[in-house]
Formats: sequence, structure tokens, C-alpha cells
Amino acid sequence: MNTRLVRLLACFPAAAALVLAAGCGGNQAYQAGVQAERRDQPQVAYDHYLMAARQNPNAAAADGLRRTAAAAAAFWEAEAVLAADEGRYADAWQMWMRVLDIRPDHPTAPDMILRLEQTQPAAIAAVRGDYQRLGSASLAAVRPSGRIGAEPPEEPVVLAANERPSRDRRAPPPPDTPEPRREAPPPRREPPSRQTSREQPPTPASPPRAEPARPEPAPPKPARPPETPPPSSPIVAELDPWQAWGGREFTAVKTLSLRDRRFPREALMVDGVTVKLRDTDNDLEADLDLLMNNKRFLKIRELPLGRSATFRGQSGVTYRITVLRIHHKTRTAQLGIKPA
Amino acid sequence: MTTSPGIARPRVAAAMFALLLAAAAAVGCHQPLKAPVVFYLEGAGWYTSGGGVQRGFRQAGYQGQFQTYGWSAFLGPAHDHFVVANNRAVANGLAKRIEKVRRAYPDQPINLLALSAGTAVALNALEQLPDGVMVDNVVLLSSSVSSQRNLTRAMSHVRRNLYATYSPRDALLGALVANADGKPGPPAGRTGFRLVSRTAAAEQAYRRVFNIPWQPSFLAFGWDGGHTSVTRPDFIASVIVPRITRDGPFPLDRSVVDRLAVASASD
Repeated sequence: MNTRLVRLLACFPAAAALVLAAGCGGNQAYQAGVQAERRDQPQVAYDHYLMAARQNPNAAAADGLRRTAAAAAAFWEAEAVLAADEGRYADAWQMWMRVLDIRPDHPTAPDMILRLEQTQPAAIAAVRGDYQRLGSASLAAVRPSGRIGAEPPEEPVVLAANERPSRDRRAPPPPDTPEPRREAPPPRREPPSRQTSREQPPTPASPPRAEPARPEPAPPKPARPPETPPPSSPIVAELDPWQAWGGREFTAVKTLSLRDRRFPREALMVDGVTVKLRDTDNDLEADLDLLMNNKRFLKIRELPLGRSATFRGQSGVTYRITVLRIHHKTRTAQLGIKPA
Repeated sequence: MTTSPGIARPRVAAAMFALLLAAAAAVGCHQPLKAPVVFYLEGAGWYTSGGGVQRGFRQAGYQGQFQTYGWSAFLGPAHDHFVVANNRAVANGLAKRIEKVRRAYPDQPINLLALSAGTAVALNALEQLPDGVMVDNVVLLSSSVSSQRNLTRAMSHVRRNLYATYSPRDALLGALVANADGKPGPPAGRTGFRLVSRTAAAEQAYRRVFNIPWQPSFLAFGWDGGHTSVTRPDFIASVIVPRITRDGPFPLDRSVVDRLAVASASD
């Protein structure tokens, strides 16, 4: 038999194996990203999709990056704030750089980075030098604290796939939600500069109180594992099946959707206030209605991703509702609420 | 002898068409220029990307004027790339327009963006500006000028920074036989601009030249490393506009001089 032909035929399987291996690398990373999304770890998923895009920049990797970018950036932002609070300035700098790398249009990350460079130059000199040498690759070295992420409540409340409690607006709050304590707080005025054209002034549902109440933090529970700090509010954080959020930042997180049947269109959020999703748009803005006792008391329109609006709950406490994530294709929005 | 209606109708139609063209020219070519303004130059040939770039600016909240400066001879991409792009007279038209706006609005931002062979026209226009006439920022997308072109003279008319996107995945630039400016070396859209002169003036100028290499995260904004996908609205809105509208430095950017210093230190 012709030896040249035999050699050619022998090379073919090896070449095919090489081609498959090259494609498989990207596919494995992509699948790992999908798994991480299912585990509600958008920052891990984002890194896997990044690896998949590096190996094979296709539409699937692009979609994965688009889906997880906002949540991953928000995760690193929360980590950066925590690190700065704890004096880990080098970590904070790297984390803010990660935020900016993921979302170059982030509104505050550039200023936070420059502020750290001005106030803590010695602390960040080494990591800044690494970035000058290696670029974005140096940012992969930073590790999260492990404290930003799913914070299971005492009795987890998980929305089932076919559960749509929104039809009954008079649905009582979850049984594990204790009554907020209304103790006399120090008077606090909402500064007018914090309100932008997008943010509506708080609308009191009950007779207006001059000073909004601030709920006292709940006492720590000894049964909680040490790596999970106790909730800072008597309002229990709920697990959201779309994505678990940093429990310390928001006291309640809800996902609402007009097309994704896993999520309701409206939900009771906090303090007697129901939030109803009206629409989303391509500019990643959400239209919301806030209701109390079945009556709409606040209409929020075109609230962009990452921006907030304030409102007053039934108890008179002022809250801030933030758009955490929008998936316009399915008209889905994730909202976080915390005392303002 | 009377003219039959069959002959009169085409004449009337031709006259109306000519009138329409004249009216369009009167309106289009003499659109008053105001500031702030973004001048955009398309690439060679008939491909239009200005709409996407403008959408990106609007998406990012830009409310000023957006002007696409037409430089193509409409004789095809090859003619534009090899003949027209390096024509000084073509660039002079743009230079005069920039000067006119700058004289009218001394303090308003003027930004200059260009794609591919249009970057040659943009750089030539900058070099022809009179002393003291400046633009604020320049963005060169997938530039087909030489990476070894000396930008010192052009940068003397740039108040802030020059950004140049580049991608080794740009197959179109990889297939070019000559750069749009006729200078040797690989195109800047494949490798980024290089510091070729170590004079003090050149180093001072290149401290404000920033190469933006393609990276996988840009896939989320629509730029897959290709030649023209760099003009996708999301990429322009999320990556380019924040850099040119920000007052201070952009933390992610490393200038050509900074990268060179790092490379030298590690040798």
C-alpha cells in the first residue's frame, strides 16, 4: 500500500482530535459558566464565559457575558466596598478595577479608584504596579471575601417555578417576617441633593411623619454559621431563584417578570408595599408601580439599571428600591430594597 | 409644432429632480455647525457605520451634534484606501471645518472619530490645523495607518487624548498590502501605535496616546475583534464614550509610554 497515503490517513484522526480539543476547551468553559449561573454565582459564571470567549469568541459566550456582566460587576462592587471598610485597600482597588473592567461605563468606579490612589497610595502601589505590567490579567488574582453572596434566612422562602402569588395583593407577608420594631430613631432628613430627576420623593401612605423611622438591627443568632453574619434588619432577606444577592446590602430582593413564568409580575416587598413590574426596555430601564392596600401610590418610570428611587412604607420608614438587573428579552427585572 | 405629452413629461420630471437635488444640497451641505460636535469619518468604500456610532453616543447620553464627514470618492474601497485617504486636499476640507467650529466655539468639546482608512484622513487633517486650533479627543477605530507613524505633530492639536482600538483578530487589516498612509510597518489596527521617536516632544505626546486592545470582555458589547464590529453602538457607548467624556484620567488606560517603560524595566 502507498506509504504516503497511509501516513496521510493516519494524520487525519490526530488532526480531527486536535480540532475537537480546541473547540472543547471553549465549550467546557461555557458549560462551567452555565453551571455557575444555575448556582447563582454570576461573578464565577462571568469568569467562565470570559475564558470561553478567549478560546472561542462566539455568540453563546457573548450572550453569557451580557447576561452576567451587570451582576458580576455589582458583586465586585459590593466586595470592594467591604474591603475598603475593612482597610484592605489593595483588594478594594483591584476589585473596583474589576468592576470597571467588566463595566467600563460604571458611573462611580473611576472616581472610587482615583480616590483610593490619592488617599492610600502606599497601600495600593504594589497592585497598581502589577496592573501596569500585566494589565487586566493582574486583576484575576484578587479573591472575594466569601461574605458577599447567598445569605440564607432562618426559614428560606423560595419562589416555586409555578407559584405566582401576585394575583392576590392582599397576601400576607411570609410567616418568618417579624414585625419591624418602631423605636424612636434620631431625626433624619432626606437631603434634596440625593433625589435626582429619576428618583421620586417618598410618598407617605399614612399620616406623614416628620422623621422617618429606621429599624433597629436584629440581634445575632448563635445558631448561624460564623461565615454568615446575622441580618442587619428585622426584615428577613429572601432567597431569589434567579440570583442570590449580597445579603448585607439589601434587606429584600425580588425578581419580577412579565414573560418568564418562573417569576411573578408583582410581589409584596417590604413594609406593606407591593411592587408591580409594568415594563422594561432596550435601554435597561424598568417601569414600576408601588402599591399599598391595593392602591397605587407611586409610579416609577424608566428607572435605569443600577439607579434607585425612594418611597415610604406603611410604617413610615423610607426605603430605597434599586434596579439590580434587567433582562429585557423576557421583561424580567430584579429589584433590591433597603432602608434609605 | 407642439410638444407631445410623451416628451414633455420626462423633461418636467428631470427639472423637478434637479430642483430637488439643489434643495437637498442647500439644506444638507450647509447644515450649520454647532458645538459640542463629534466629527466621524467612515472607512473606505460604501460601508456605513456612522449610524451605529451615533447611536452609541446617544445611548451614552451625548446630546451634541454628530457630523459624518464624507471623504470617499465613491469609486470603491480600493481607490479610497490607496488614493483618496492620503490626499492632503481631502484632509484640508476637514481641517477647515474643524477650524471653523473651533473659532466659533473656543471652549466647547470637539471630538474626532474615524474608522479604518478614515483615520488617515483624520490624522492628516490634524496635522494641517493652524497653530492653536485643537480638538479635544481623537478615537481611531481599526486604523489602517502605519503603527509606526509619528503622531507627535497630530497630537499637538489634541487637547486631551488619542485612543486607538486594535485587534490581532482583524483579518481585513491582516490582508492589506499597504497602509492607507503609505508608510511601512503593520497597520495600527492590528498592533496598536508604537513610539518610534524618543525625543522629549514625542514622549510628551505619546503619554496621551492610549491603545485599546481587543479583549474577550468586549464581546459583551458587540466587538468580536473584527474590523468593523468595533463600531457597534454598545461598544461605543460603554467603552469609548466614558473615556472621552470623563474629565479626569480613565483608570484602566495605560499610555504607550507607560507600556514601553514597563517593557523596558522587565528586560
